[in-house]
Amino acid sequence: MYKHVVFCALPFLLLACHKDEPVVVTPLKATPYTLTIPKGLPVMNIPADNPMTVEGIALGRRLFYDPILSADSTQSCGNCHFAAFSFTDSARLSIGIDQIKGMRNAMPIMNLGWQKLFFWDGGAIGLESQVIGPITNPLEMHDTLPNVALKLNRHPEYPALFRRAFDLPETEKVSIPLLMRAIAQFERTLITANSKYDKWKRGETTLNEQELRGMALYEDMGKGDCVHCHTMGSAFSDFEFRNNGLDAQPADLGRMRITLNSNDLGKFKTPSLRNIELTAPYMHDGRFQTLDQVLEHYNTGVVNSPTLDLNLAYAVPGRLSQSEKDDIIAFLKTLTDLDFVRNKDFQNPF
Amino acid sequence: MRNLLVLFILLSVISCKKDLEVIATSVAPKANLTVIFQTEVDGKAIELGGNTFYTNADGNQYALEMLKYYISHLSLVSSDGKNDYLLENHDLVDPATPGSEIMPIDSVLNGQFDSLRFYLGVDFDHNHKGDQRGDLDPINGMIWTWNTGYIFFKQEGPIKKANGSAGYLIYHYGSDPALIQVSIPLNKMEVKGVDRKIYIKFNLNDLYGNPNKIDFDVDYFRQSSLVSDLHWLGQMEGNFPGAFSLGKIE
Repeated sequence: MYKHVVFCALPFLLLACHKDEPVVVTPLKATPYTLTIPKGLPVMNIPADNPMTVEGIALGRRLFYDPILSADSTQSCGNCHFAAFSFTDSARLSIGIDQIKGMRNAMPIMNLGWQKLFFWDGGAIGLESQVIGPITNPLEMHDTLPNVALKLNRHPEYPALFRRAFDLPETEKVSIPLLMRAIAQFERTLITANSKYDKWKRGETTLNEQELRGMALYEDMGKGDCVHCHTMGSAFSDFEFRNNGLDAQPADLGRMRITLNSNDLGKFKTPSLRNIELTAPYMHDGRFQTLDQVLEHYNTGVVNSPTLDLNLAYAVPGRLSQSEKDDIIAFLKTLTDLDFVRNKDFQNPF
Repeated sequence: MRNLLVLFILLSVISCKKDLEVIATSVAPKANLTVIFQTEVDGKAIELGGNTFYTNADGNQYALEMLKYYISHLSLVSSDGKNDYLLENHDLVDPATPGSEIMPIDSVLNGQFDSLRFYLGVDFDHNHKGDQRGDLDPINGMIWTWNTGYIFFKQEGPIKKANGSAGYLIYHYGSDPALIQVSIPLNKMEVKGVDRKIYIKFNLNDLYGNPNKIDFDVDYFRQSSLVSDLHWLGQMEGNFPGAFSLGKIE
């Protein structure tokens, strides 16, 4: 009888054994991340093929600060784009890994998710495409894309981090397009909208008399007239390409380098004035160290050339007194967002 | 009566058998086509490595160390206009990578075809975005990293100048206007249930001489990025359509 029981029980025992076998684990999918857009800023268009994820942003941040992306592994994006300076540095022209100066002043990284064209001449289309510029520029990180891909694939941690961030199958290697997307995801999180000016707009604080005078001069078409190009609001720029009268014969072709159109000679992207107090020196070649020098340029220093912006061609020289310049500078300082530059989520994770 | 029934049954079986035989010998309704690009100089397949020198229409001597180009939007134009095919492909042909010259057009319904068309280069939408995978991956060395856009045709290698001195040729041909459509007549090619191969020849010497003669003594460093490159760019744009021709159809 017992034999009979055992034989009967055997299939059930086998079934029980089957149940205890390890279950196949499906890899976790990347966690979708919803960007918080501060009040007053428009909707950000995020490319459909690069949605924001928690893991993608973390990976992008790590890569941003990792010197592995340079040929000799000494320089990362963060070496010329410091959070404390609103993601630029304090150099006129930054120095690359070969100890050679670059051609143009490093640009701050803030609110770029709302922009389409990058570099002073707008050569990069899309935030993702900008990434491979500095990495391969001989004057900057001076690496090659095959070498970068090789280093990332050989790294003890990056392959797993990329697989996790982009839901990659085990067989798919780390690739350059995904490097570009990870860094772009991180950069989209670098949003500044909490300056004194923003708080004043939201009714959370007051501007003092000098700052208010400065704002009025900023908007006054017969005085600062800054508003013509550095439109007030979310961006403090319209990002158009302009020749702002720096040189009679521009040494740097600017936008013309991209369009090959002589009407674009010496034209550069109008930058945002947010955090301008922190992003000295100024202009595409960093020639002005102080905001006073910048304003004096617009006041008396504008030089004529065939492509000079018409707004400046008709501006009256000497229209600003020193105290008026001081007022405008006081207003410009209200655009500084210390929460942005101190945000730990944006800083070097290493 | 019974005999009639037997006869009827016999006839049915015989006719059924005949039907079965007919089914066994009928033609498949479609076939797979393969387009194969053969990069050559005047009939001879190119050799990379920079040691074999060719002579172009202008008398320049050149050797090849690198040669790559994008073929996109392959399409088949049917004779009756009802059986056209269009691929949304962007393929990088690199003679150093065997297999890259092969492009399948699968499951083509039986019919007659007048021409094969394609573009040399990258279309506008894809030409303004860098984070693309596959053949458009930046790792292939066919993208400008400071001015988002692809190099449609890349050639590099040593040249011998007219005065005998050694030189080097770098051609990075690209930008939106440089996208060129090529049309190859197929002479009413039939697809009838059997896989076929279409060989397309790409003759570099036609690229450098038909109809515009390119002089390497003058045009040896062209990267489509300066105003002074525009003349060369126009010459090349004019030559690409005539550089492709039908090889054989198997």
